[in-house]
Amino acid sequence: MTSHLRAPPGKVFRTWTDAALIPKWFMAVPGYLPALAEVALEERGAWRITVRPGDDESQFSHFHGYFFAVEQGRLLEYSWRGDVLGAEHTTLVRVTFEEEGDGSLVRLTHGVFETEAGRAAHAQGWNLCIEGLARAVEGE
Amino acid sequence: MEIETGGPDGPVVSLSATFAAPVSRVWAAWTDPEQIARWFFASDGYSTNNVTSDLAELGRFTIDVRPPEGDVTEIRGFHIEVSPPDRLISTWRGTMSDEQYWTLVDVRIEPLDGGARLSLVHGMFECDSDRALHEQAWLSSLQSLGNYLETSSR
Repeated sequence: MTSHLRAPPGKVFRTWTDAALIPKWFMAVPGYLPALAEVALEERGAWRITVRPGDDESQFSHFHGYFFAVEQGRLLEYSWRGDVLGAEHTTLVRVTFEEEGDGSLVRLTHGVFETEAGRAAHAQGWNLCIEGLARAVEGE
Repeated sequence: MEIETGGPDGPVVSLSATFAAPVSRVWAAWTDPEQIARWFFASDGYSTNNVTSDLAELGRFTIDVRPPEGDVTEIRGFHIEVSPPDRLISTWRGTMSDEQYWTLVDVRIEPLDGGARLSLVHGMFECDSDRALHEQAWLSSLQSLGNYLETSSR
């Protein structure tokens, strides 16, 4: 998926990767508590995000993985594993950040999903996340 | 053995092969560096060396592929999900073509009619020519793996 954001690539990249900024956009949807994030932004560094649909811990979703490529302001490639039904296996996320006019072009690829349900659930999740990302980087 | 192609749309290699060997033996052939060298790029004048594999989460693997002529292709990656004897998911990066990005190789091995079926998904490629190159290499290597499993007696 591709999105156009009215903020420079450096800012979008920082918002994408800074553990303190991730809760502003990652599943930042009404009714949810802010996500919890830990990020070691380096090759083979680990990341972990906990999504909290409420305060009942049994409802939390957990995602984690490792970075394989980190190019400041330009590119991220990282493994991804979570407890989403139909996609409990490891997948790969590739996201590029490019300057476009006075904003950014963000391209996201995520796969390969074993089931159509897993693919659909992640597509829906990423749509919500990118909407949140746009609010987070374009605000103020 | 049979090889089937097909799978999700887009630039992904999706293949499966059946072998007249049990799951544990296919797993061993797939993961033991000494055995990998016997079937991976083991035809058409290609040879491999520097085959290493640390079969642990974030363990590194290396394979150098030497073509009949031209430059050696260095394949490097890290295992992420290691679940013997039926699942191995690893990142992958090679100097093959102009591939300057990471991909993921997801391998499952399941019992089938007294033998085993190996399913391999490799993606996501950035263009179809990269995908086609890897599909051709995997088809050839899976064929060699079948021959190796039939003729060796480990």
